[in-house]
Amino acid sequence: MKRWALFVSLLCSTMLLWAQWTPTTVPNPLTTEQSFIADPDHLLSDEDKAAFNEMAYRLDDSAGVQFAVAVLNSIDDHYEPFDFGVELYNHWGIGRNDRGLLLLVVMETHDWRFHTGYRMEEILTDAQLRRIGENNLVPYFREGEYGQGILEATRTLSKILLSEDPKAAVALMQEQQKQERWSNFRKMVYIGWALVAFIGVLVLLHKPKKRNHYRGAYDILLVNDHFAKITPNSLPNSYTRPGLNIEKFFTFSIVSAFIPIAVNTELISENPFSNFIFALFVCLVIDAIIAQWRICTTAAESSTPQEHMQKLQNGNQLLPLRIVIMPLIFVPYYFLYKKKVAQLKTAGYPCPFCHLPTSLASKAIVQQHLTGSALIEQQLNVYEYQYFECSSGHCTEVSYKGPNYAKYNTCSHCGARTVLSEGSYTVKQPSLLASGLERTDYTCQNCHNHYFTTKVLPKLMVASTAAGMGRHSGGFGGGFGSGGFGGGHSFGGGFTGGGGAGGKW
Amino acid sequence: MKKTSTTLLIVIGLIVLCAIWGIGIYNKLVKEEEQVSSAWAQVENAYQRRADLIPNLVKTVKGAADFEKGTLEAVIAARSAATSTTIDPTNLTEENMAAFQAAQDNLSSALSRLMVVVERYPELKANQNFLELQSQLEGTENRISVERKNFNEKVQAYNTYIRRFPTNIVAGMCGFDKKAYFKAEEGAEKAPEVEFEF
Repeated sequence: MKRWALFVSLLCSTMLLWAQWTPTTVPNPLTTEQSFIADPDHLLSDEDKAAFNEMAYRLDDSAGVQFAVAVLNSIDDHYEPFDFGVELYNHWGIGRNDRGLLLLVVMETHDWRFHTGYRMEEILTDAQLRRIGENNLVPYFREGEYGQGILEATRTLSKILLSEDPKAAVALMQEQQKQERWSNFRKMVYIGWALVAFIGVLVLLHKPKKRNHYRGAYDILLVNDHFAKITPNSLPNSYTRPGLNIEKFFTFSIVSAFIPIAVNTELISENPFSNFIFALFVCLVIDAIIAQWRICTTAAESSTPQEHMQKLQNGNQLLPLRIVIMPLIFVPYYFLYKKKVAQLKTAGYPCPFCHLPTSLASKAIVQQHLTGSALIEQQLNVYEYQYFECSSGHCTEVSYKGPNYAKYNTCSHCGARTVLSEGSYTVKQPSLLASGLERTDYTCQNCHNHYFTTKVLPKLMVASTAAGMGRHSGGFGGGFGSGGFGGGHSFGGGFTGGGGAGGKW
Repeated sequence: MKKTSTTLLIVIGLIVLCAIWGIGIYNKLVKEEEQVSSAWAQVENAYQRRADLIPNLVKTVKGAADFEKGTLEAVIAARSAATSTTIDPTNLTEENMAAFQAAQDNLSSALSRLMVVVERYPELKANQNFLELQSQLEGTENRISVERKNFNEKVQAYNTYIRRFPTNIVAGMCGFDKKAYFKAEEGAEKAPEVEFEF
């Protein structure tokens, strides 16, 4: 039994002895045994390895340099030691931010080689490494004291690396920690985002919303048996936005923020916020197009040109916003829209008496009706009056809101919408104890009646005590603590550019 | 009315999706091309590093011994030819690449001849300055081979990407062309032997 065990172990050890390693088969020491030295052929003593690891961990912590060693009996014939080292280096990914160093020792061919990471090239030149190899490795290696040689070289390297300005290394490390935190934060944002989007979709599925379309209407007032007045509906315009409703809109934009990820490309960037803004923009564009399309189609269903016009005007209150979002489409539309409105204004309102089509009235009729307050209103751009005649001689007056409509109020004395504010002044200054008073004067431009309104000004507030708070918290707890790079050690994913030096013993 | 509305929505959605997909591929292409460019910059760096070593090397060799003129002049001429041959990374065509590689290979062989001749001058082989330069030269040759390999990998990834199916449409529309590799020629692949026993 014992003999068998001996035989098997002997067999194993001879197999190991003659194992020809390739860069991918050499076990990564840091992930398998938390060691910086790979010794799969068991050529070094445990004490030497422990002593080496102590120094290597110190280098990693204090200088930010990962120094790995691979001691191998022999390597695959297809590889030159140099190519093998480069591949091994890149396969393991030694060194955070390319601050790494690899020593490859091949027993069979008596090769030793240092490989530097991209950023190590300036700190450890090839000539320096060659000298270290010649002076520290070769003498011991010739005596067969491999562990001692490696330790000696590591001591020299530590001296060089630890004496170099640690600020750069610390800055690099902090930069990396920052990046890691950012990527974690990004993940969290995306997860939260997915949750919100999910809830949004649920809400949408659960509650199909009915929407009221906006209205456009005119009141008809028959003044006598041949004259009618058509005025814009005085009721408040109860219309909802003709585009997507708000929940739908946000759910769409949140969901579409995932499109760049789903397509698996850096469409805008990896930054979730810019993705979101991009998605928001896409949704705004889609929304604007849908809204505009709905406005135009529903407005076209009107029974009179005036209703058509009013629906268009109501719907296009947000047109400036759409122009900002998509000028290419909406600027041309704006001109079309203006032209359409001008055309609809002069299109005849069907006669309220006999329902015959009408046409613009003659100048004499306009002069006959456009007098007094109506004339003043037209001059002040409060209303715009159009007169239409049908073939039976009935006259219809249609009033459109002018650009100054909102600036004027209706006079309770003469009934014309010609009351204009003449400015306001403070009657009594507000103080800490008592409220103040402000008075605004109005005059009717038609009948010259005077009005005034008063407004109570609120008491003054004591100057905010909130300012200056937070100063006491002082500083942001210096340093970042130990931080740590997740569980356990691993190589930092560095690359070598082929720097280093090597030789034979 | 309702039907046309949904059709419109679907059409708009499809257009937007197509646009996003196209933009995505385009950006990926730009990124791949950028990687090729930066790999190329590294290749040029490595070659430049070698070219920068040569004046010092020539000075050291000249100063140390009564050295063969022909070999040195060949190195100097090859160096100036090599440094004057550069390629814009956006224009990595086969011909440009062949010209670049020929110039650099010429320098490589001139250098290796120099190193062979050096063998005949024992006082040079004992010169500390020369030894330092020599190890630097060796390191540079190593870097060149690493960067060339890296560049070839990047170009291969890029070339594969632009020829794959949906990508080739976007690549064709936006003028992303195939890029040339470094060719491993007989003898040129091997770095000149500048190995010395110390």
